Amino acid sequence: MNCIRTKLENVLRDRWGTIGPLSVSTGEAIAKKLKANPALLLHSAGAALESTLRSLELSFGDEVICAAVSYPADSMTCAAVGCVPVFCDVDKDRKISVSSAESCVTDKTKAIISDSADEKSVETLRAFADKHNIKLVLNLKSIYEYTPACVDCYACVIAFPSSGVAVANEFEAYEGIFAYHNCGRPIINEATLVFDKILGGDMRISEWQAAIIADIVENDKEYCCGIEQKFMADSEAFSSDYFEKQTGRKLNYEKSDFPGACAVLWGDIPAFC
Amino acid sequence: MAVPNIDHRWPEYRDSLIDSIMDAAENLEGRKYRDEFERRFAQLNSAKHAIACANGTVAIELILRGLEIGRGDEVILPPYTFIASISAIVFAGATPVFADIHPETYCITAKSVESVITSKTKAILAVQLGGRPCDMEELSKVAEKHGIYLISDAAQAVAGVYRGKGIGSYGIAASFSFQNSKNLTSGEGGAITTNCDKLNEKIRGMLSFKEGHIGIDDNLSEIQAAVLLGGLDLIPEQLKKRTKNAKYLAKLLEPIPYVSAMPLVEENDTHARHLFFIRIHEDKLGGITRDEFTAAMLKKGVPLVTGYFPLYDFPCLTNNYVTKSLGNTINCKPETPVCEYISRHEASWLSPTAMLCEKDAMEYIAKAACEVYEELSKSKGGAE
Ligand SMILES: Cc1ncc(COP(=O)(O)O)c(C=O)c1O
Repeated sequence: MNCIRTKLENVLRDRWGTIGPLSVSTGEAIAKKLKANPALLLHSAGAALESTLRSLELSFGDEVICAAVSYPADSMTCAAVGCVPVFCDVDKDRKISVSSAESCVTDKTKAIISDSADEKSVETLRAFADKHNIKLVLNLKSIYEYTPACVDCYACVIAFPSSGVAVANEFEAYEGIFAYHNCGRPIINEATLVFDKILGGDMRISEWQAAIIADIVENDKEYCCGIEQKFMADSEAFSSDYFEKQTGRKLNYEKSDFPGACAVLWGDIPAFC
Repeated sequence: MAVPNIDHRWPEYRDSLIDSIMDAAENLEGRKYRDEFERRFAQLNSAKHAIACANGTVAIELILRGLEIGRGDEVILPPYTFIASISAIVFAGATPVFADIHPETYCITAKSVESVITSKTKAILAVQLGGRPCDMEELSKVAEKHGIYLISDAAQAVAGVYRGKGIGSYGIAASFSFQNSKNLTSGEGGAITTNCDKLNEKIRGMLSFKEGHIGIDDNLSEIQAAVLLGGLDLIPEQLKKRTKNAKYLAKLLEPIPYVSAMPLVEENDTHARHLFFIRIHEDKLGGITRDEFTAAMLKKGVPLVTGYFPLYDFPCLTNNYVTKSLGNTINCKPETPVCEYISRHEASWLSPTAMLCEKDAMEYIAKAACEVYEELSKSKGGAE
């Protein structure tokens, strides 16, 4: 077992700072551990989600269903790529209320993001996604929340300390996420700059960050990224002029639109609503 | 002449750095190293604020978002740069517009910028190419005249100085890259410098998901900040060596008619010396092309490569997703004759670490240029 100090010393000695052997081997180790599809390490979980949404070519004019109580990155990343987060209510267990999600579907809906990976909710949401011909994306705050059911989603994002991982379940997803995270470079022959198909950004992970993930994965370490779910639907960001400029819309949700979310967060619809 | 070492081992780290790296690794949520790095990086740039972030691409994107430049807006940039300069503009939702470059420095010019300004133009992205400062004075005048922002893509210009002040203190903000090949590196990494309190606050708000901001998780990790602090200590010595070698090589190339270095920068400017460009003059090479010349140099062990393709060559710029995101099609047939010529016939650069090698490496490079010319001329002549 290779302790964190040794790993970091190796990075210091090898001087391979980016997309190096550690990032690649750790991606493989995660895939093996989770019995999952290819896993790609990125500089943050938000970046993993962004490249996932971009791999679906989501932007202006598209809608993505997010839970009213969810990780801020879910809806913020939608906004960052130019699409509108459409908020649905949650059930008592904080999971997406499918009946509420149903009422959010329009012809612009392209995906749904869920923070839950338990078998039942993945199965239900996958059926919902299939019915509406949209994609299911999962966003988890720890690798220990991953379940075998996750292979049923388009891609699953996992937060790690100061970094993130995307587990892609469709080859197209892997190809797209890879290209968007690495300046449009294709997976095969990574060294060449092709830039033909995809205009990618930079969401690469450094080997320093990969060392942290490798240490967690190898040693089954507990960790906490400090990410908490929040009531996101009435965030001021979504009623700002800038959001309107980027997405063409202003959102004006109120807490009372989401009785389920209010019940789990405050026991009831708060008096101030 | 035996091939000297022209492949300097990079990055340079001191072994003792491991202690602060470990300290950072044990306090990943802390900000001790990031705060210290930001303080020192702001100081290096004579700027009021420095904000550490994930890389040089998101640094540009964060600046644009912080200025609320996005869909429907135009941002002017040179077509002769790394693709990240343009992807950041597109990711922010703005439409990139190309303006031509100077034939001797390959940097964007104020005149060409002015020729493409429209009522939708919101900013100029001036790329400090290879580490050479652009003519920021003239660009500032144009920006001011038209009420638009001047932003600096200083990804390659860590420690660059313009008119006696850090390059990061010019314009509304500057972006930097600490990717592995850069003069200061943490494998990946980036920073923004600005003198604008409001922009500083806004970008920090986005990075920390503060209420009212569109949150973006593009932070630099604490470990990388510790690595960068170690690198900052080495910069002055490295820059001295890079500069000395660059001046020496420029002198050695002077008498050779078919190649030249770029003009030296002014007295109170500092070229950050990330890339050393060798301009190859096909008109003086008697039928030998730039591509043949660079390939032959490479064969002789000189790490010389042809430079960037012009950005407007890339089909991905006009794909459906980009067009849908912007609500506009990028004009990939710009009037940029200088870029068109130099990118296909003239530009080449030495690997970023070449200037960290010894004097004999510079001598070898100049000698190789002469030999390559003789050999290629002979083989061409022989074939005819
Ligand atoms: C001119 C220029 N702009 C932007 C970038 C992007 O920086 P990064 O690779 O850190 O995302 C680079 C990096 O090579 C660059 O050279």
